[in-house]
Amino acid sequence: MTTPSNPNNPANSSNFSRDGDLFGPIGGGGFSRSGDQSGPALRFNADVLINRILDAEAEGEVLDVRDLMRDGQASGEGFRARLDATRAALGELSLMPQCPDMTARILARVEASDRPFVVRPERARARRGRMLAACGALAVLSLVAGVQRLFPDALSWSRPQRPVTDLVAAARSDVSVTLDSIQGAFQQVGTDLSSPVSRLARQATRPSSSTSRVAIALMPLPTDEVGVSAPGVAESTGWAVGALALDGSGLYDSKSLISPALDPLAADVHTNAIQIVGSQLAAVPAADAGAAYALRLAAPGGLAKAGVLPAAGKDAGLVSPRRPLVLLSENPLTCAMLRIEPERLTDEMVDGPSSADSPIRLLPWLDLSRLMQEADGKEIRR
Amino acid sequence: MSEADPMDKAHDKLSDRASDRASDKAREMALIARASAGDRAAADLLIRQHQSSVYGYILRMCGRPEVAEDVVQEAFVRVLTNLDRFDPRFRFSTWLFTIARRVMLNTLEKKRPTSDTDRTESAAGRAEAVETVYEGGERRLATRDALITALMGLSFEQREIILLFHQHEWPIWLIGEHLGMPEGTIKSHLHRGRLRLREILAEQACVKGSAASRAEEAWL
Repeated sequence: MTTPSNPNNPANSSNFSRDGDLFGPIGGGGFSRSGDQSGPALRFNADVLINRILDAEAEGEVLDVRDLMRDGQASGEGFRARLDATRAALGELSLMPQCPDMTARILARVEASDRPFVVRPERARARRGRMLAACGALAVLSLVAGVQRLFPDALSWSRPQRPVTDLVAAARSDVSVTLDSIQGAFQQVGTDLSSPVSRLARQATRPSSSTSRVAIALMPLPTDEVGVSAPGVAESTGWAVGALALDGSGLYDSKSLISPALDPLAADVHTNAIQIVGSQLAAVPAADAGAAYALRLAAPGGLAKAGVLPAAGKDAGLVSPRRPLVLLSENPLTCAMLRIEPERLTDEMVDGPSSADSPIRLLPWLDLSRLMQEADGKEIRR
Repeated sequence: MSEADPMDKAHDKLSDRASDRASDKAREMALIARASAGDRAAADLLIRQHQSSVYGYILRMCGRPEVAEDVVQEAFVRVLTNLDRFDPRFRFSTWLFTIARRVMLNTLEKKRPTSDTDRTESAAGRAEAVETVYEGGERRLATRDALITALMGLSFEQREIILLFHQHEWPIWLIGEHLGMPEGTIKSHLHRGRLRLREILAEQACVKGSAASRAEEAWL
């Protein structure tokens, strides 16, 4: 930048005849020698000179500055003042404004915004690692989505929907399996297993002393709820299922099931005395009723028909005491029945959709009631 | 011989400056390498060496200290997080100024007043901010205030070129590279800017002078 003055360089010349000079005077010759310049033209030329002097000063061209100053002073009295004013204005620029120390803030921001002063290869490695992890996750998700699309059941997070036929198949093998299947069926429809069935299931999973086939059933009660009272329990209406030992004894079989609102045990009343108000309850042993019905339906040596009542949807509450579930199977014979209100049975529930090929058969309430009466509480062996 | 003496001195001065620059450059490169390798002290030193000049440049370009501070911080953050991209063939300050300039333009674009009210508030804030920055004697404050005002009276290009040339002593070719303009255009802006700056300052002096004389007359 600071090259010595070159006399051959037109830029360093003190006359302003250089072609293309932005501020050179129109016409040849140095203005200081022309003597015929007007006022504005003189000012113009003085400004050109001032610029050249400042350029030369900035580039350290001392000799040029000296020549240019001589030309400028020859141009008029005001030249020096104008030059000084310009120098003063520009000289102020060399004074730096007071600068606050931002070092700590900058370093803090650097550390917060990026990995501080981490060399590029490491940063690139970290970035590559993140990219690989993201790509891997994306690939796994794509794979899962593809498999899900091709085999919807393979990656189902919910419990598989088990058709009722599974219940029948399960019922062929073992009572406990059957009841497990019942539990599964209840869970399938998203409903908690009711207390009676749970307790039955627990009982059934215990080894039975009976060597023959076992029928387990909850006998349906009359459609009207009965008034029940027990010491310490407010008299109320409710339902009761099971072999209630009524017969004026005032006792009830603790294995039978009573609606929680009336159950003395549930009320933390330590008694098994229970008074059935009105004693309208026909206490037919449930096992006999279920077994009789199964016997009636099952072909000799064949598979007993099974039916589920009713498939009224999740909202209906399949496990409600008022929604009987009847399951019959040949080996072991199992019958689990819960109450249902006859008036809530629809035609479809009573008559269809059973078919000859289907193991499912809908059992109308009235038939069930009649069959249970016919069974007369006897244990059926086949 | 008497003519040769200044030439010799100039040559000596030039060679001294060249060797100084070379050693400065080597020191700076070592500092950058250390900072790039994770040396916090080196980064600290790098900031301290350059923050004043880049702050002065940005402040006088935009006239607003709060903006200048933000811009300088952001510029340094970008520079320090990309030190490995620095091309040692160029000057670090040039790179820093280029980044700071880009940040400033983006910031000014975002903070551009959208209404007359905003513009008024912005101008008021600027005047107030200038007062807070320039501490010291009253006269000096007034001069610097006038200088900032005068600089704001220049076009953006004139202001930038004047600052780079006179404040930071960049050569014309470097300014041309920095701004992507031919040297002739740079010189044109520089020359016009100088004269305009002087005119504005002269006008300000006239206005102040007449105001002072009016005040004096009123007092008498």
